[in-house]
Amino acid sequence: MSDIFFKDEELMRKFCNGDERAFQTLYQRHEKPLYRYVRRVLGTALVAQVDEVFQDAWMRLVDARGSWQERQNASFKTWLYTLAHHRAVDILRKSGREISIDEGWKDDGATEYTGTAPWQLWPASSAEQPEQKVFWHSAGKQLLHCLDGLPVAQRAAFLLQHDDGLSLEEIAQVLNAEFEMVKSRLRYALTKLRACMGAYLHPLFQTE
Amino acid sequence: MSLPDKHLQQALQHAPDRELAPNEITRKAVLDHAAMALLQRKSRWLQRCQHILTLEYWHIPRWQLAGMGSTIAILLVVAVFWDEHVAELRTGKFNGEPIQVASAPTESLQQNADGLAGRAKDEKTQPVSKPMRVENPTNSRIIAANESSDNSSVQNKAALNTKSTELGLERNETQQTTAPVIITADKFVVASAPEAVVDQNVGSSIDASVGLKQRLPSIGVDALAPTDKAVAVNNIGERSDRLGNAEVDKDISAKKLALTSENRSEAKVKIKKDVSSSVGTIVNSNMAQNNAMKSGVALANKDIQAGILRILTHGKPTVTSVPLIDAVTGYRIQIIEGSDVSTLLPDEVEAYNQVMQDYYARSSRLN
Repeated sequence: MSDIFFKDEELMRKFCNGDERAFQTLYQRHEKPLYRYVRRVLGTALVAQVDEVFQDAWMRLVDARGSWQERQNASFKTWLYTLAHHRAVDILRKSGREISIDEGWKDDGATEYTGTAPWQLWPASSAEQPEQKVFWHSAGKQLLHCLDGLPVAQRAAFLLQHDDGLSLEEIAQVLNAEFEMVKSRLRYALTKLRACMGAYLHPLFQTE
Repeated sequence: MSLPDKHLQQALQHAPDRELAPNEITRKAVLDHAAMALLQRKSRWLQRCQHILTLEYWHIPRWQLAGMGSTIAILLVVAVFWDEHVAELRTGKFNGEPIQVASAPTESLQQNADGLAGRAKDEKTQPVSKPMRVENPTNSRIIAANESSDNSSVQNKAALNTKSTELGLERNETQQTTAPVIITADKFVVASAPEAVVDQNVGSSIDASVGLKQRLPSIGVDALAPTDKAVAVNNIGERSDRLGNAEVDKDISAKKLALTSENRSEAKVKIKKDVSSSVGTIVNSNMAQNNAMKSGVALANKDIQAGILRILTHGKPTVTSVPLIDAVTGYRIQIIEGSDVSTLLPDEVEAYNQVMQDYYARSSRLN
């Protein structure tokens, strides 16, 4: 039976018992998502540190596999992203871009859209037409730009939920934050991102 | 608010960094690190196994290990050489070859006695430097048993009793002493008649007091001529004084009282008879000696050809942690017999060692 049919936790257990191929499967499975997460959390200003953080996260996981065996019900993905997030925060601190832990908690003046929001007029995501593909590509590019403007805690919460598919409980574990705080960070992140995206994409639809 | 925004999620999926991946160096570093970690895990198990196999795991100090090792080595050496020694005694072989002994005498004891009486007369004043030779190996064993104070040799005692009866020797058990007296290159009078003076070298490890006591009654001081009797008694008295044997002194005193009533002619007959029965056990045979020496020379040549260089000796086994080395030749000294040896063995060993020493001298000159 191939390793691709095993869950992350089973593969990690096999790796702890000496199965090198299990680790290779795990790595291939989480290589790109984790790399994206690290890159987006660090932002465009610290792109040069992405590989270092990514590599350190995996090596710490390998070195700390003994503690993984002691955690019976732990999620592998949560653990991996926790290691990567902590390493990324270390880099941000060293670079002077550290943001206080309550940064994403307080209201920084962002207001939610009322009435007809611009994104409600965006084309369907399943559209196959070239113009629609171009739109979503531009939207993605704009979103990355908007993410750079978010505080790290809000950015990380948004990315973990929207890109990596973690639940709120898992996000709370990764960010080492309370559940309500995570919800608040997500709310502020979404408000800011929608405002940022609407301000950029709205003129596009106004021309139509 | 906790549900993901589908539009923003869709925008993320179409972001330009969607297919970004770490470079190959980073990927290889991570995978190599994982592989190395597993190897170290295996090696840790190996190291633990090796650690268990080493004595450090058992917390034994090094000095105790050294002591244990030395003790085991000594026991091993003793066991090896002890086995060789016992095997040679049991099989009667020396280095795989049977020990050569002289054949039993074919001449009558009377003839031997006459011949030896003449020889004794001639050699009376000459110092004796060689050990006593016995032609008959059985007799030699008896003498060794008689003269040895080793009470542990039950086998020799049995042979002693049997052979003593055959030869007409009266062995008085009550006269045995436990105090060993070593006589080396010494003379003592067996009988007082001039022809009965026999030189004897009892050897380096023979208890002469026992032999002396055993001969006193059988030699028959009573049968000697009055003048000869006086000489014999005086000689024996001196000897007994030296030996410190009170019982012998007592016996001598009794014999002195009996001297005056003895007949001279009867004494001569008894002298011949007693001396012949006594000297039959101490005959020195040149033939047996030569055979033993030839055997030693042959064995030495054979060992030299085989590359075995050693010096032979006999005596009390020595237990040492280092091998005995001959000071002259530097060859290893091998103990092949104990103290209770055949009288032919010293000749054989002497000849053997002489050949080895000659070989060493030749080798030294060549080098």
